This record gives sequence, structure tokens and C-alpha cells, in this order.
Amino acid sequence: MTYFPEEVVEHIFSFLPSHSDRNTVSLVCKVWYQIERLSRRAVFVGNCYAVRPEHVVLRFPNVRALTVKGKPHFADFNLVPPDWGGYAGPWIEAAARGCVGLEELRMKRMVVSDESLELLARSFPRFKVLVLISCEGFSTDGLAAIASHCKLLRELDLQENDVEDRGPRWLSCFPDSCTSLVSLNFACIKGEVNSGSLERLVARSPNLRSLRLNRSVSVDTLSKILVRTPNLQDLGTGNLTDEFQIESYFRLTNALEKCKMLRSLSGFWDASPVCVPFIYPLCHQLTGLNLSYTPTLDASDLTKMISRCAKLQRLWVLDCISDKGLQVVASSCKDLQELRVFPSDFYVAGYSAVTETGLVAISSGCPKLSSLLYFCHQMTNDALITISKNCPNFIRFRLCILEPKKPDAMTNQPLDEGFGAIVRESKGLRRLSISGLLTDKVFMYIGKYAKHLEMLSIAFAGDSDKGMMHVMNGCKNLRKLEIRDSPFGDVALLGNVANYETMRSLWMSSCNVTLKGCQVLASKMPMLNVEIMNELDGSSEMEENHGDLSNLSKVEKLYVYRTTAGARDDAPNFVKIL
Amino acid sequence: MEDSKTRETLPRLLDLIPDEKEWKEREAQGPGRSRNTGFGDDEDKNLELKLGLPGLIEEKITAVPRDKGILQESPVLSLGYFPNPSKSTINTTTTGTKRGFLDTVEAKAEGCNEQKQQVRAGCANELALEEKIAAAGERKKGCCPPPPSHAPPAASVRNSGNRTQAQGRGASAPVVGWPPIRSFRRNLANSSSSKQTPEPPNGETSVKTKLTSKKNPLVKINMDGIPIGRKVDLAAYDSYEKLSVAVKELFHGFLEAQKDISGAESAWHGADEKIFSQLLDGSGEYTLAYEDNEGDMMLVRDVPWNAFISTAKRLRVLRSSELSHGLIGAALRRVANC
Repeated sequence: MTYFPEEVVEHIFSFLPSHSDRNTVSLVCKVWYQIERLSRRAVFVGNCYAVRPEHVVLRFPNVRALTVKGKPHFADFNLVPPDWGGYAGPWIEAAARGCVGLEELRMKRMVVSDESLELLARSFPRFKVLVLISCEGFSTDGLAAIASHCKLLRELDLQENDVEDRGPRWLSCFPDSCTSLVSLNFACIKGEVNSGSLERLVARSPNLRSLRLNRSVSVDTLSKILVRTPNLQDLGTGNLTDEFQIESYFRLTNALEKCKMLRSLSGFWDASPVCVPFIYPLCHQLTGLNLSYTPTLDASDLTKMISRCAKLQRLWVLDCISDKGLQVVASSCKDLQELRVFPSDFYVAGYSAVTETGLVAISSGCPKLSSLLYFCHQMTNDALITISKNCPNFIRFRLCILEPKKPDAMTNQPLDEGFGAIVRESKGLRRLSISGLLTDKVFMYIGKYAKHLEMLSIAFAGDSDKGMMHVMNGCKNLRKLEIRDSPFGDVALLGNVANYETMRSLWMSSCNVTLKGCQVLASKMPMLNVEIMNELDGSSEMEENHGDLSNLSKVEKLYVYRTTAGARDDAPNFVKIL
Repeated sequence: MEDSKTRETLPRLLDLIPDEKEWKEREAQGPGRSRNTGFGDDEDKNLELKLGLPGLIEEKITAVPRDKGILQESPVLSLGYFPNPSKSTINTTTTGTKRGFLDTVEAKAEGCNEQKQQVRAGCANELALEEKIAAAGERKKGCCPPPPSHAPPAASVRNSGNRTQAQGRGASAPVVGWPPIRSFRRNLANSSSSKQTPEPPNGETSVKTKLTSKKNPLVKINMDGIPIGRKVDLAAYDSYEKLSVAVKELFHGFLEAQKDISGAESAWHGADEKIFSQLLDGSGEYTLAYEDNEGDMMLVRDVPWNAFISTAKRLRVLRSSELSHGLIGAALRRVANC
């Protein structure tokens, strides 16, 4: 192969679909390394601290699409203290210096400042796509900068970010010459937007395929917009309340009927039940429906709508849909592949209208189900076993029983057998979250059967170090392991340290690992960053203890990840890197 | 049913408690549990009862040595819901609060004084904490100067919108970061409930009645002798019994804070039982009443549950002695007839 001209090799590489394949070919020889790195167009950095931004940019100067992820997953649930890190600034700065051809930037769980967004907007003349998911630290002023200066902007996709609202001006910053928008998602923006600006923007964006509005957009505006977007494929509505004249809703229905390409619907917000029927004409063509932001619709409202969606593949809904409602879903939506049922009541001992019955019904009606996120208050082994047999194609299975350590609701036994059945039957399982009362046995099953598992989330589970050891020894493809409030300690932490080099990260909080254990890990594995975080009290306790005692003190939060960058220099004072 | 199951597991729990060091933070359970776990009836330490998660198996207790450090000085009692406060308020639970769990342990009389102080502190703090929660719910992450390090617990406490909805379910211990829901979604519930206050319809929208106001009826509830009221989501319960328990959960913390220390000791063990046991039939110290959509005060219990939640606009927990004799007589007759 080394006798081929570089262009040919490069062309061959362009057929390699995945990052890991390209990473592999770059290891073959120096020539291939060079060819590969100069022709690489997309780089994915799963942990922003695993590698220095400067090195990435140096190695791949011609990269067009960069994806970076910051905080660990449990940061979504406030388990990572604020100011932990995950700053986008260094990445944007490095890219601005080293690869000005950048066109696409996707970030998840990172802290992005307005200044960074400003720098981004001004540094990349061909910039086209910005996707920010679960990020924070910026305001609508930063968005204004993007809108103003990215002349070729195609996608501005903001998903569930925490954005400070500084007024509606940002939307008006898109210049009249900006006609290239394909995707605009500002559902997470809290404030109002100027409806006139929005209508004009949509009117001059003939390529718009995906539009997700925030709750401030009225039905009037929505209906006017939809007239302009007959090719829209994905819509997130504004608020569908009953404060508007019925004529607006008739206009809405008429406009929706013209959107023959519309497949995916979300938004609704505080939708009034009387307004939902105006959406019905769309239902038969929908493949995706997200009603999970809408607590105002009850089970009968939801089922009346969903029963019309025969082609539905992806459904996100609140648990007010109830078991009966899930039965309707099961009988109506035979193509269902992804289901997420979120709790409407976050209290652990509160009330949920969905139980194992609903999930069993779904499993028997929707055998194609492959991705599940289900919050409920009770589960049984029998139900899980039935589900595992009905749906052997799970790729993602996340079950959250709201009460920690809750046993089988019928037998009071641990749920080991139920989850064991899931991992045994779904051989392609890649992501698993377990909950309820669980002993070490469930981990034995996981280690034995879940051979393709890449991400495992554990909370309030297990009896001893053996549990975690089963996983570390058995799940060879594990990339991310996150554990909270489980009795795993140093023995488990140190049981199979070589694994941590093949994993992206390990998170352990409120477990039994001690400072000493972490120190041993850090000394054995220099290519890992072993970060420990203790609350302020904790660290003062540690200082008071002397000698051995301090080493035996429990570490509140532990985050271990492989890295070529060494200890990071932006760690706050509550983070100690061993 | 849940109750019978918990009774089955209770004996196991009792046997499992070797000594005080094994107190684990538990969540107060649903209706039946919290009342039935008793209040220090048993002298034997082994039988010290606690509110615990159902089905908690023995191995778990011994496998968590970290809890040994928690309550060595004295068992800490906290009544009801003290959402994980800043560390400074409840001293003996520093390691416990790190976890974000709360001790909802019913303890014995020993060490009572210290406990009472903590309870008082806790109760007083609860009010202060309500404000903190409301503030925390509105605080935006990231753009504002980050709060001090005890912020995560505060931020993770359920925002005040949710607090009022399902209090009565015995949920008293919000665990940090549990359930695993993104804050975007948690905040949605907050903003959505604030938007649901129905606006006066203008003429053209007469076509649609305000259906949204029916969906989550948060009604005020006041108790005689307590200046501060609560709000409760009637739709979260499906029976009068559950509502009655909810009312107890809402107010008993306040009651204890109001009694002075000497009275509290005897009040504790029987207080909840006495005050709240007969809310519904008028024979207890307090009676539950409601104001209906015509403005009349009515005794709770007369109408079917669904009718009640659609007509009740406010709830009152009245001192039974303040009801007219006629009403009490009627209530007692009702009890006799049931």
C-alpha cells in the first residue's frame, strides 16, 4: 500500500466509516499516519480532558467537524459540583489558531462563555453547524454573535442548555443575507423572541428542515411560519394554550396539513387538551413524538393522540400516560423502537401512573423496541423476564425505579433475575442502567452476558466488591462506568486496573473507596487522571486526621479517566488530582 | 398491598438493627409505614424502629460501614422532611448529609434534648430553606456567580413547585441527584406550574373553557395555630386516607416547632397519632374541612373523592373544639354508622 500515491490511499481512507477505524489505520505506519491525519475531517473527543486541544488541532489541521464532550454524565443530576470544569474556551481558541477551516462544532456538557461564542463566530469563515447539548455559561448575547457573523450558518441546535436570557435581540441578528438555515432549535431559550423576526427568518430559509420553537411562540406565529415551510421534517411547537382565538387553530391545522414531510413533533409545553385535536391531521405520518415537556395532558388526551400515530418509532412521554395508556400505545404503534417515560412527580415516594404492567404491554405489542428509558415506582422480576423475551433487541435499557433499593413488588426479592434476563436475551445491549433492590448476583449476570455493554449506570446496588469485580472482569467493551451509593471499595477499584486504559472513564460517588485506594490507583496507572472531590467539610476532616487515618477516609466523589494530557490545570480547589 | 408487605418486612428490619451505629438514612415511607413504626415503645435497642426502605436486606446494613461514623454520639431524629440542608444546621449528620440522605429515624428518649434542639433548628430552617429552594430553583446555572460548595445539595432539593405537590406521600428525604432527571426537565415542572394560573378569558376565547386550571389543582391548606400555610396537589392522591396522611406530613414539623421543649418530649411519641389520626371523623384534636366552590366550609369526607377534588378550593385543619357542637355530633354519628 505504501507504493500507492497518497491521494489514492487518502481516497481509500475516505470510505472508512468510523473514528475507530481511522484511528486504527493511523497506527499502521508513519506514512499512513500522515495521510490519515491530514485528511481527517471529523474528530470526536469523548472526554475533553483526555487530550490537549492544541494536540488535536496540531494533528488534524484540516478537520471540519469537531465534537467534544465535557462533564461526566452524572453532572446532569447535580452530582458534579459547579465549576468542576469542562470549559469550551481552550478548544475554541485552539481551533481558531490551528484549523480555521472548521465548519461544525458539537459540544455536550461543557461550559461555554459568550466570549467563546464570539470568538467562534469570528474565527471560522466557513462555519456552518453549532450543536450545544446540556451546556451552560452563555447567554443569548453569545447566540447573537453567532447569528450575526456566521454567514453560512446551516444549523443552530440548542438542546436543553441553560442559557441566560438577555432579551429577544439575538434572533433579529440573522442578517437578511442569511438564507442557508436548515435547522434551528431554540426550544430551551427561556425568553421571548420577536415573532416578526422569526417569521421573516423562516420566510428566507427555503431549506429549513427542522424548526424547534420555544414556549413563547404563539399559535398565530406558528401557523404563519408553517405556511412557509412545506418541506419541514421536524417541528417543535410553541405553547399550545387555549388563550387564542379558534381561528388561529384552524389556520394551524391547515398549515400543518400542507407539511407532508413532517415526521417528528415536539414542544407542546402547557398545551391545553382542547388544542391538541388540531394536531390530529399530522398524526398518521409521524415517526417521532415528544410529549415529555407537557404535564397538562392526561392519559386520555395522550392516548387519543398517540392512537392515531400508527407509524410512530420514537415516543417520549410523561408517566401520566398510565399503564392503560401504554396499552393503547402498544396496540397502536407497532413500529415503536424507542420509548422514554419520564416521571411527572419527582418525589421518591410519590405517585406514578405507570408500573411494570405498562412496560410489559409495550413489550408484547412492540417487539422492535430497542431503546428504553422508563421511570416507575415498581417492577417485578416476572415482568422483566417477560419483557426480555418479548424484546430481545435492546440496545439501550434504562430502568429507573424511583425508590432506591425497592425490591420486586410481588415477591419482595431483589431484581437480579429480571435484569439478568434482560442482559441474557438482548445480546446486543450497549447501554444499561439498573435500579431497585440488587445484590452482587445481578453483576455476575452482567459480567457474564453483557459482552457488548459500553455504558453501565449503577445506583444503590450490590453487596460487596465482588459486584463491581464481575463487571470489570466480564464486560470487555465497557467504556463508561458510573456508580453511586453502592458498597464498592478499594478492592473493586484496584481489581482490574488495566481496564481503565480501555475505558473512557469511571465515576464513583458515595461508595467505599478510600483515599489510599485512589492513591494506589494513581501510582499504578500514570496515564490516568484520578480526580477526587470532597465537599468542603470532607476536606477539612481529612486535614484534621493524621497519618493512616486520613488515607482511610472515604472519598466522596471519584472520577478516573485515561488521558494523554496529564493533570489538568483548570481544576478548582475542591478537586484533587492524584 | 404495600402495607401488608411492609408489615412483613418490619420484623426483619427490627432484627437487623444491631446497634445505633447502623442507623442508615432512610426515606419516610408511604402512609402506613410512618405511623405504624411506633414511637419508642420498645426499650430494647435491637427493636428500635426506623423508617426504612421496604425490603431492605440485612447484608446491606452491614455492608455499609461508612454509616458507623454517622450517629455515634446520639441518634439523630429529624421529623418529616428536612430537605438536605446546608451542613451547618444539623451537626451530627455531617457525613450523612454528604450523601444527601436524611435521617428519618424515630429515636428513643435518650439524647432527646439534643435532638429536640436539632429538630427545632431543623424546623426553623425548613422555612428558611423553602426560600432557599425557591431561590435555587430560579437561579440560573453558570451565568451567575456560582454558589458556595453546599450548593449542590440545595440545588438538588426539589424546587418548591414539586415540593407542594406530593408532600403527603411520605417523601421526606430528597437524595442528591435522585431521581436522575436533568435539571432542564426539573425546571420545566417549575415554570409550567407557574404558567398554569389561569388568566381571565377574553370574549373571543369563550369557545374554550379554562381546562388547564383543572389539571393540577394546588389548593392552599391552613392549620389552626400555624400562621404559615402549605399547598397540596389534590390530584396526587386518590383517597381521603392518603390525603389525611399528607396533611400530617405537611404540618407535624411545624407543630413540634411551636411547642416548647418540655412539652415536645411527651408530644413526640404520640403527637402525630393524636393530632392527625382522626382528621376525617371529627373525633380527634383536629378536623379536616374544606371550602367548596360556592364558598361554604364543609367537612371533608361526605362526598366521593373525585367530586371532592373538583369542588374543593381550600383546605383547613380546624381544631375540633372550635367546631360547633352540632357539627361534632354529626361527625361522631357518622363514625358510628360507618
